Amino acid sequence: MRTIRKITIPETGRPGIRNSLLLMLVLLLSACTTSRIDVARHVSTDLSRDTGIVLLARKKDGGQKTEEDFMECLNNALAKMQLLVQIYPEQDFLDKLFPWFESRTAPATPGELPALLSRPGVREKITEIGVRYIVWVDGSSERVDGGGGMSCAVGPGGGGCFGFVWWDTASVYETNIWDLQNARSVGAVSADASGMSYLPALLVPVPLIARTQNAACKGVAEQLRGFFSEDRSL
Amino acid sequence: MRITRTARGEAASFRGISARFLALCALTVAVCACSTHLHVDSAFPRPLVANLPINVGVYYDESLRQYTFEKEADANSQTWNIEIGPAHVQLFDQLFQPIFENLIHIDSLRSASAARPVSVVIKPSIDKYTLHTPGDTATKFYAVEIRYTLAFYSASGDFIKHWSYSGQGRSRSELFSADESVQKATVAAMRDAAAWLVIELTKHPGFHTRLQAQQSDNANDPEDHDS
Repeated sequence: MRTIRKITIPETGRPGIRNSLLLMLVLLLSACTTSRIDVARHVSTDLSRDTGIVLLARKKDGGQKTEEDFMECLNNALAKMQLLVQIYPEQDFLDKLFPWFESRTAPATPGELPALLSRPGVREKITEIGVRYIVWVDGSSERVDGGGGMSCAVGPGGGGCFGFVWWDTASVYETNIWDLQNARSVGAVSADASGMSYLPALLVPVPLIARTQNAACKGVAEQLRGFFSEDRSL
Repeated sequence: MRITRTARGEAASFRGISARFLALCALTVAVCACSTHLHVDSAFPRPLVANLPINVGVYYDESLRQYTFEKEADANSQTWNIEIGPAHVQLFDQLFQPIFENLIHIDSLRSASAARPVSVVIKPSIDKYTLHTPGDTATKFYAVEIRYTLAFYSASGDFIKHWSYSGQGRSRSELFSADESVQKATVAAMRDAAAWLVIELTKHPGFHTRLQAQQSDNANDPEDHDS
């Protein structure tokens, strides 16, 4: 009796070794980042599966300082967590409540909420869409310092770069959580992450990027989970 | 030896083709990057406001319908051609319809008789569109300011007064998507101005009676109402 055995030979080594190499490469290409997260809780949140929250970027002069990819990162990070609330899309919220949350009309403090909620149709619309908490997001990531130099050249026989460039990035974000039903502040989370990125080049530039924005996003999301999940505590 | 020569010939030929291809790509990128035509198109939300129980006529002239911003290339910016007229007609319709009980589109400002079934006629216009690129301001943002005039006329077409107001919008500059950033900044400026306008129109529910009173007092002494 003839037995046919199918033998598969990995083209580039074992998956375990390949994954380890990939992990080492990622770690090698990531520069160090330090971050600090501060949390302030004023009151406990009142949650159920029907409770909605919305993350709004604070706007000024018709625009927002906070990057769209930070808002996306925060929304995605919260969506992956086991929260007791539903996350309402930001643009839908702004459109449904237009013009009351635009840059020139949005309430600046929780004290302005009662006047806003007393306007015709506003409280009814908020109740209809089920949003109870607003998470205001403000801040940005900025390059604060840098130096070095690099020169690149291309010729008929090829090209390459030589040099060394570095820069410091600071990511500072602040979130404030408001309870629309009781017109008060529930708490705040702030994140401050900094790191130095490098770009050494010996023929080929090798970027070593400090992912400060990502560190701030993960830190803020982790603390916001404390407000909107079962393990919340005052 | 022949093989080596052929290989060298192929390599040279490949380099030549590569160089031509790169030059063509660079030329294409240069031509595309020098001029951008943008047709601003966006859905605008219906304002959440109380309805005013009046009939209003709205007149969009050709200069509003066809309004296009043009900017020649300079040291800080490429050539821009931004078509914003049709988006504004859409925006004003979307704003006025929920605010007024009846919104009637009229074809001309002047009417032979005062028999139009409207209390007031509104004529919106764009006075100025300003675009600041990141190169102009040394920031990471495209900034847009749009200045408007909203003129009020009686049913027969007599000028009553006008309001001047403006909207500002900003959008972060993204690599290889300047047109998207300008579109976002423009829509933000339109929303900003629209927010002011909606609030002003609905702040004083009896504004049309005051307009009519002002018309009888002094129709030729317009009062500015700036944002």
